[in-house]
Amino acid sequence: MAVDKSLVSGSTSMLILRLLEEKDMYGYEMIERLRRKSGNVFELKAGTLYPLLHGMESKGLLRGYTLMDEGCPPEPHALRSEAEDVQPDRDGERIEETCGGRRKKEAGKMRKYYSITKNGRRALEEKKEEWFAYSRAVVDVLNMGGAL
Amino acid sequence: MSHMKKEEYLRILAEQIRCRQARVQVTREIRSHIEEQEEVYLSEGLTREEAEAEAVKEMGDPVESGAALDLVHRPRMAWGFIGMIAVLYMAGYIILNLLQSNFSAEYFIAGDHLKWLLIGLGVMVGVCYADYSRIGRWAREITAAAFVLLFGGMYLFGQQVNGSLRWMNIPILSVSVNMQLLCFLFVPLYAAIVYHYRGQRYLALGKCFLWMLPGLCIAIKIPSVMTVLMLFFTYLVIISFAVIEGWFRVSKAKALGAVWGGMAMLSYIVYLKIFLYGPEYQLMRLRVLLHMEEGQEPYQTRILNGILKGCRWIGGGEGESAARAAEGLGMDYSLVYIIACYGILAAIFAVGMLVCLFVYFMGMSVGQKNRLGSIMGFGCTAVLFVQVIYYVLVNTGILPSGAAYCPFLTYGGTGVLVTNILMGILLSIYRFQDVSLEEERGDLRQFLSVRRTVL
Repeated sequence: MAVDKSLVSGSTSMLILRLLEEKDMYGYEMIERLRRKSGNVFELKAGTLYPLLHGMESKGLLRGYTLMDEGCPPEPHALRSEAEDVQPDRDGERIEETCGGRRKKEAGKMRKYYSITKNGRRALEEKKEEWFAYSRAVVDVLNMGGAL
Repeated sequence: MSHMKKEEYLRILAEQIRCRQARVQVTREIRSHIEEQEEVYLSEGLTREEAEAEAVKEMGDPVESGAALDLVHRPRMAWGFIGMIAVLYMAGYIILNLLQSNFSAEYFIAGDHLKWLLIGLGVMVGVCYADYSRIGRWAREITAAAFVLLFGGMYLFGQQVNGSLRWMNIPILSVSVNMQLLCFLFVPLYAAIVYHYRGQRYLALGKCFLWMLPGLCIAIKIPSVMTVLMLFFTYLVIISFAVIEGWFRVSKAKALGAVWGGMAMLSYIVYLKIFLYGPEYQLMRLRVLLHMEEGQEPYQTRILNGILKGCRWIGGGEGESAARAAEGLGMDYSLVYIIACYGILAAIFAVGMLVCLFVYFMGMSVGQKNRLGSIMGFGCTAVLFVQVIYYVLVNTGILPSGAAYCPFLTYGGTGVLVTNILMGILLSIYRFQDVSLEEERGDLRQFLSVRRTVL
């Protein structure tokens, strides 16, 4: 279903926070995940995503970190804990340890991952409340019977 | 129509970002994204050219994205921060002049202080523009070079006063620098060195201890016990910060226990050496300084007690006349004279202002997402805190005066320069807080070999 983009543009940051609440992701992964989860409704452009991500990082809602990804599907908790104490030039070695026997599709790809911060989780809760209040109000008005 | 190539897209995008330091990181991330998309298209059967063209097309307008990224990554000059520092220096300048006119027998300020303040302001802005990450990247080399220069300089140009090499002449500039204060510049460098060892284990912690030596050796060479202790304490606080933040792959409890337990053990060994096996005169000197000898307090403490006894909360009391009669305290005791002249509350207000400013610096440093900025800022603020705490302890007579210096409130060129270099680093951290600077530096040997090849 084609959806007017202005409906979702204001809430993209909320959707990103929601995605990252599940696990740490890199930019491309977020676009893909959002597209799949929304049944192809939200097709976020990379040109929009990165300024938004960097802006949210600057506000302290997200924290970015670079990892040498050995092609393993990223595991949020493992990666998050690695990010705390591993320096970039040792990352490859560490990730290999945590990947175990999982699939490797390519070698040594440097990716910037984002994780949600405490402030990010708080902002997400606020945005969700706002959104639900707004959508309830819209539904109420659309479904109202009789005269105003 | 010819399609835009990946490199062209990235070039146009990077051109929109004014901050040079941010460009590398941003383009690396966007490049990785385009390549990811290219691979997907390749797997769907497109040729390499088609895949690249499609992936770039997916990205949208590079000017629009670049401009949006530029807004996020622009370096921010903290004009409020600079204004606050200028106000504090002016306030300090006025207070010192007032004290000088009130207590003409003492030495609080000289005519060239304003010149040093202006030079200091230039140094601060210069360090800010120099970008702390460059200083941090070469911290080990700068530390080693500074050690060699200072150690050699003290041999050649050190001025011996009462057996101490507290001052060093700089021949070309014909000025003398205060070595006790200069030592504190090792601290932000030390913080950057600790950052370089992050992610490692106990051996790296040991290396961090070895890197304490350059600064400590200079302080021992002076010799200034208080500078050694203040430096050592600041270094330990920095290491503890890194351990608590989880930068080392060690057990936090064990590492902190080793750091502070080692410190306690060292203190005990020094205590035993002096109090049990040291020469009698050293023991007596320490006992007097630490107020352990009844009726034999040091000369300064006696004057100090006389002044402080007659002071009031607001305004000058009897303490003021005692301060006028006193001789030989001077600028190491500005707070005492402020108390004598304007009351205890005035001194509390002055120190409170400084503590508030430093708490703000500390908060800003610890909250930095860039870890190098975080630890260097923490180190700079720790120095300022340690200096003020020591100054207050000296002014209240709890500790003997050795290297008492209070930022903004003590006259002296070296002091202004050292404080302003630290402030410049803090400003630089603030300026580049939205710029990711966590790049691995090139190895010196690699750099030299490249240079050789080019030559």
